Amino acid sequence: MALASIAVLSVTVAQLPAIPVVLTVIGYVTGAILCMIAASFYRASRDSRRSRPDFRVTRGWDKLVTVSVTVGIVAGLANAILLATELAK
Amino acid sequence: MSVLRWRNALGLVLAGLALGSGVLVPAQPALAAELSAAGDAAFSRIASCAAGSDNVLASIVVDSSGSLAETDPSDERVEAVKVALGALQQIRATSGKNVEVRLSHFSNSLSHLTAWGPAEGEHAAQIADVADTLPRLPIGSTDYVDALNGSKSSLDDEAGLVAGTSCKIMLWFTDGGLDLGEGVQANAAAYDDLCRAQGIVDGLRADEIAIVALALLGEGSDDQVSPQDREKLRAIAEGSGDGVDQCGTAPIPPTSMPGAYLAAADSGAIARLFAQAGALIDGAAKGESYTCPDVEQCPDGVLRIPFDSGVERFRVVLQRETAVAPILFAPTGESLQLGAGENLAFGGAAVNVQEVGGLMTVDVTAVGPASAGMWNLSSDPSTTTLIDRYYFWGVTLSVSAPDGLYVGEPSRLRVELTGPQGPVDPSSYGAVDVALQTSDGAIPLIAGNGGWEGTFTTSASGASPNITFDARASATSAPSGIPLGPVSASVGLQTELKPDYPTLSANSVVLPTLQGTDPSRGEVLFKGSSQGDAQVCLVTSEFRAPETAGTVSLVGNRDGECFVVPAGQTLPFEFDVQAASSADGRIDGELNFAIASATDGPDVPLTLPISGTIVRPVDTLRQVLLTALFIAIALAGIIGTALVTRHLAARFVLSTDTRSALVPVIATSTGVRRRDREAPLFDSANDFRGLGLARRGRFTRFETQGVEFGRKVPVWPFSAATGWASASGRVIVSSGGNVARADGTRAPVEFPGTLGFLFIADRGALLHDRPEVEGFVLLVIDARDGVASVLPQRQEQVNTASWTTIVATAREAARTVVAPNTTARGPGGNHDEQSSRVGLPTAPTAPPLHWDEVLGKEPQPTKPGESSDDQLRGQGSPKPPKSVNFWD
Repeated sequence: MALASIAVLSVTVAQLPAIPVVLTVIGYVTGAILCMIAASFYRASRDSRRSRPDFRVTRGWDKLVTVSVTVGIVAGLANAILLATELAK
Repeated sequence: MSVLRWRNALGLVLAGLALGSGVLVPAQPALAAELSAAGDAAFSRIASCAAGSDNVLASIVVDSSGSLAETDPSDERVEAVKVALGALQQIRATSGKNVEVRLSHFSNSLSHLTAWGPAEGEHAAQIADVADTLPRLPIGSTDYVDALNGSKSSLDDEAGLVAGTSCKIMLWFTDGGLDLGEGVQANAAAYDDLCRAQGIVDGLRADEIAIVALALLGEGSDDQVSPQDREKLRAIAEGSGDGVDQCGTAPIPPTSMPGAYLAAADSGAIARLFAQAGALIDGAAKGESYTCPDVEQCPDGVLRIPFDSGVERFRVVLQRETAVAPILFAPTGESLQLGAGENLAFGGAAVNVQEVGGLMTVDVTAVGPASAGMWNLSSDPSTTTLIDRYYFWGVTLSVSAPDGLYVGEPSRLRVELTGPQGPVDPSSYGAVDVALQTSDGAIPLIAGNGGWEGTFTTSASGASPNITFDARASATSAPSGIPLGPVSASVGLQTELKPDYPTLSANSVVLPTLQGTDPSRGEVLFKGSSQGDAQVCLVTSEFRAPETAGTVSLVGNRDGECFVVPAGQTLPFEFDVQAASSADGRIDGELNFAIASATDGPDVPLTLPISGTIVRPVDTLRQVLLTALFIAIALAGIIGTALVTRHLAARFVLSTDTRSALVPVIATSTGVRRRDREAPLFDSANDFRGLGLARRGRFTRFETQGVEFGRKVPVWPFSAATGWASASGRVIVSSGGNVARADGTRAPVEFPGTLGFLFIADRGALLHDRPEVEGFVLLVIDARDGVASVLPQRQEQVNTASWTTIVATAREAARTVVAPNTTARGPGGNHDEQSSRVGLPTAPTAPPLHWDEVLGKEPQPTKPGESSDDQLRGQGSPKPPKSVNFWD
């Protein structure tokens, strides 16, 4: 979802000064909202598996999720700024 | 002056050959559709672009829509991509330019399969590997809009990254018409978006991106795509098609890049189609196709190839059914068995052979006069070989104004052809035709002095500071009469004014961005003539803008305004441009001036191009508020999600199988042993008791064996909730040797609550110096197969725990007096209260013991509700743990 938000942001920026509203809404929702929701559920799922004997800490996935959330939120908020700019015209 | 690329057209070259082989009529074995005049001119322009640029950027975009299963069932497009790659490698080899390529595919949308990289080495190998995956790509509809927009962005981005100028080419392979999969109306709307003036296709052309559409017209394709759809595809590439409306601005402006449409008759010809596109981009004309063997064209499998001096190179592309290597015979009598990868001198020429995907490409480049004559290519006569043949002229075309280009005055123009060895001598060809024109019409030329010359006078309607001249040349070689070219060049020459006229400081004006309907100011400087004052009049002004901008004009209706430019002085001319409505887009226009002479010369017209961008203005306050709102919504969503997931996840998970055991122990720094009898620490049969649950559940609190379990939820939503256990004021320590409060009244517990163990002791039992400490160990187990199945591991966990840490932590906690309503952080755990050490410990009074019965004593009476321990021990009905609303 973070990558999707970045992709949408790239497409939108490439079309400046025209700003497609639908694309920016998609980029905003996927990056700033869905990305965090997905990460939260990942962490909840991870925590609920801690009681299993076969549970192993996967720091790689944790880092990936953290980076993805950060990137997603940044891209999502960038889309939000573009969306706000378009709606403010 | 720019120097443009040569190209060569191939015609019926064998007719009337001196060697008397007779007229060979080209067969129609493969490439069905003829290249149109517009396509031919476009390839000439593309070849010029490739030759005149530092980089050639080729975006190969392959259709992966569902109809490919019908039109290309044998996945010929895979080899076709490899052939195109080989053709691009050939351009790299012959031109020495930086040739970069990227492979993408499209159906519902455009997806890039590789990054940009050179058309050779590892990147080329990667593209070849990725091309093999094309048949496995997901299928869908055919969205031209996304394919063109995505490819444009990709090409523009890469052009911005590489050094120098770039020639941008989109090699666009598709089998069908535009089909978004959303009905006829949606398709029509998308086509309108593509083809309206200043639309998507115009955008690509204005960006000088050449669209080379490679269409597959295979069996079954008629069911998928109508002839009208194919003509629409042609129109997208070339600007117009039979029976369909024009696509984009027509005619295509000289400053825009035209495209070309090529079609393959069947899937087997796709690879040759790509090879043809590569040859044309490299400067050849559409070649002729032959089927060998053929009684007339290719007797006994031998194709005759005339090669005259004045022709730089010929190329044959062979599609064979046999592994027998073809043999090339030079006019010198030498022969060469052709094999892939060969690059050698042979017959007075340099021969290069490539073989990709069943196609063999042979390039023969003249390096000396010995190469001129009749070459023969012998293929296996027992099988069919399809051969395409191309000629490359190898000249460049230049346009110049040796004496300057004066506005209002006749000016001499000169056109020259230059080959690899210098200026081309027209007399060495059978015929050479050169044409030169501007937007005002053709300029007559006369041959002379090794070139061609003509006279040009700027039009009366206004001369631009920069005039573009389009030159085009074609020829036939001698003695074989091979048609060569056309080659084309588009050259911009700056106009000048005579000394008795004022001059302009700029060739064009770029306006500051127009913010909605606010005017934007431009300025140009007039420099006065040294011969006296002169008058300048603004005759007319014209602007073009997006329709939504309405009328765009000069503020104040200044058409007809005149002013005098003093001799030798500089006079600024300011003007404001304003749009009737807000819009986003580009504005272009001209200011047409009439400039008078400072002496007695006639007035001369001069056109000043104006360009700029218009955007709708932004209400900054609204923008900030909306941004804040969106950020707030995002934060609310993030915090809400964090809260919900934390409350859902941070719970004790207990089931009907959950059992707990509380055993009296004596703990030392070296370990722990049972206090009441000599026996293993836990007895699975007698020590464990159920929690009395009717079903599995997730709880925020529960009690067992007099120990209460709960959780602490921090205010900060992104901090994890933590579990704790409390033993009615006694010191309680986790298996890791941690306490959650400094006075030991709480210990940290990991969710789901059935991990680790707890050590519990009265404070009095800890306030002495003896090494042994009396206490209890609480173990909670949730095992579907019964306690005995996991008890050995859990008991081992107790035995191997760091009892040094556990006992030390318990003793320290017992000595700690807690300051009320404060919190502190102790070893390894979170605390609710701030602790402080005092000289002598004062332990809080503990409630009555609930586990005395474990030691064989009668349980102490407790108040109802003080603890559920008694209830859990069988006094009345067991009470299940509390299930608390997760918002609790």
